[in-house]
Amino acid sequence: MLYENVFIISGQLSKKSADDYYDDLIKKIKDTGGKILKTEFWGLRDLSYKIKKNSKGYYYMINCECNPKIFSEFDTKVRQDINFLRFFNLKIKSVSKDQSLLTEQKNN
Amino acid sequence: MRNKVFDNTSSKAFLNKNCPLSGKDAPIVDYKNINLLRRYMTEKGKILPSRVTQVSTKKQKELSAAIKRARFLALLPYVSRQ
Repeated sequence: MLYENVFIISGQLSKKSADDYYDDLIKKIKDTGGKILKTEFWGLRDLSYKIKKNSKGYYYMINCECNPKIFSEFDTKVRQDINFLRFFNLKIKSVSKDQSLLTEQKNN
Repeated sequence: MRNKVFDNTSSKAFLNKNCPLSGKDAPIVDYKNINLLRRYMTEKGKILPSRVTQVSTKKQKELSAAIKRARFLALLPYVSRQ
């Protein structure tokens, strides 16, 4: 199964420590035998509404082929960790080769 | 006879022509395409009804799912107070 995952990490952190969070997530997916097909960084974006008293967040997207049992682990992490704002997961049919629109906006 | 004339105008081909999201060159409805989704919302952040925007039933379903996904990720507001 192919999945598209989006993570939001608190904008109050520095970019380095947010990247550490991101590396942790990738490690967890790889450790359980998942394959990472595509990653995107959407940058530090303004949130449309406050989440856990944060008004900014780092957006990361990971397209992967993995065991869906890991996702419950991410859900508990959202509940327990203050800096881990959102986890969003979607089944997809294919991975598009182009970069998504949100990354393009950031480059311009 | 009157009914027959009415039926012709409301045929499926006629309806699809009007929908701005179906057809060959139509943009892809996706939760990442925020600027497209914004066009189908009111200023307050409500989803516009398809009878206003002429979107087909199939595409309206995709649209509302995409908007709700974008809202969860704080890309779009649930309610915007301006």
